[in-house]
Amino acid sequence: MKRIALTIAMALLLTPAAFAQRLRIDLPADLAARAAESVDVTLDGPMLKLASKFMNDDSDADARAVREMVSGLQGIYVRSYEFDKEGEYDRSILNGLRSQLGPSWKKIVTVQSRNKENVEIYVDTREGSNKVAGLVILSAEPKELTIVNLVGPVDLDRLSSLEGQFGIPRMSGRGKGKNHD
Amino acid sequence: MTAIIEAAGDPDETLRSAQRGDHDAFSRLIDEHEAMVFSIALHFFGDRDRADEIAQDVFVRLYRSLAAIESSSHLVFWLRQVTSRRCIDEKRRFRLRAVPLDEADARAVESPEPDLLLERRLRELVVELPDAQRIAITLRYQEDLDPAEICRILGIPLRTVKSHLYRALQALRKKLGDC
Amino acid sequence: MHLERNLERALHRADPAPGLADRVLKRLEPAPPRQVRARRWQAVAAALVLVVLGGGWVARHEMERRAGERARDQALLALRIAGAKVRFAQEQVRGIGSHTNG
Repeated sequence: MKRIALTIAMALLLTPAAFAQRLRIDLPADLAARAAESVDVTLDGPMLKLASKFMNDDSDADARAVREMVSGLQGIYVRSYEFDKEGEYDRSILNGLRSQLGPSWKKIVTVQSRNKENVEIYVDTREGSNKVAGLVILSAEPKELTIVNLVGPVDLDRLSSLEGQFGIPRMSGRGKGKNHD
Repeated sequence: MTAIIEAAGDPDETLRSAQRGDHDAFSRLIDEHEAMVFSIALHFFGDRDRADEIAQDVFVRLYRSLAAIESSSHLVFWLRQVTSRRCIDEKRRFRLRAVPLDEADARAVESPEPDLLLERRLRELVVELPDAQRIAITLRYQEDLDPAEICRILGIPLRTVKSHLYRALQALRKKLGDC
Repeated sequence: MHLERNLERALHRADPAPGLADRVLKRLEPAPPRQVRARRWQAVAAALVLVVLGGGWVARHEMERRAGERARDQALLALRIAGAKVRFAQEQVRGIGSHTNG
């Protein structure tokens, strides 16, 4: 019994870093119901390991890079909602998420565009390290709300270069042409 | 030569040849189904280049999944399903790039026939529908599928498909009325 | 107005630019050698034997495969969304930088 208690205590001592990088994404329960489209991704622990295990279809460097990134993460949490019309959600719900970001979190960019698309990106830089140990993206558009929380090492440049990958290579040119009747 | 002609005439035989690694047979499969795959993507995006990329991607996936295709009818189902899902997935990726509205309009499908303005306008309006409604409408009216078939392809409940179709038709009627 | 009839006409099938099959086959090059294909079929045959011999074991793995593929698809979708947002922010910042410099 004592050993079990000790194990639990050790586990609690060893994991606060990961917990500190994970956001508690508490959103109104009816948000998904009001949305025309919604994405809800919660991947951590064994499911994340399983996901990276199944990223072995392609042999190119891009696919390997994605697999490496995923296998280094401890958690992927995404909520994204697209609404038919404006005003379907209250932007103040993001305040509850911002308030969870402790002193190790640094806001690296705030974008406020003319079409009211506001994007805030926060990174968690662990003490004594320049590496990004966690990422939070809060994106609020008139008809879309997106919250991203990646727990673990994140290479922002690599992340932003992921567009156009995943087996959908950009086309370099047209084929030589064979008539189709 | 006779064998080739026979293979071209029998879709299941063409499929079996492609599964055995015959690239000519695989090429014939593409020729046979490219208009369906390309058009689903075209009506979803209203963009020929993007539809072409989607079609290529779907057929590359088909090549890698040939062994799992059981028959020519299963092939048609598989192509419709993978194309639909790829469109929705791809749309989300591009939408999040926040393309300016005027640029998006400039990408609208081009129709050279001046007497087909209504059809052109309808295609433009279909492209403006929410993703799920758009793919349901495309499968319903391009592929002439009934709601039960659409629900099997999209993997969503029948009542949801009916709701998407109903809401899409309502939206189209309203927008056409506003023109 | 017969909206549904007009939709059928508007959403007719259209042909892609000529040469789609060539473009697809080009993406598939180099074609897997015959020996590899033969091995692949042998692997399929071996898998079928396994299905007969240990149906339950294979079924469990099939479930794991589906769960794995679903998890993979979710991870890829999540990374695409995150990547698109970061890229959008970077482009906006670069735009501001170029305006400032210009």
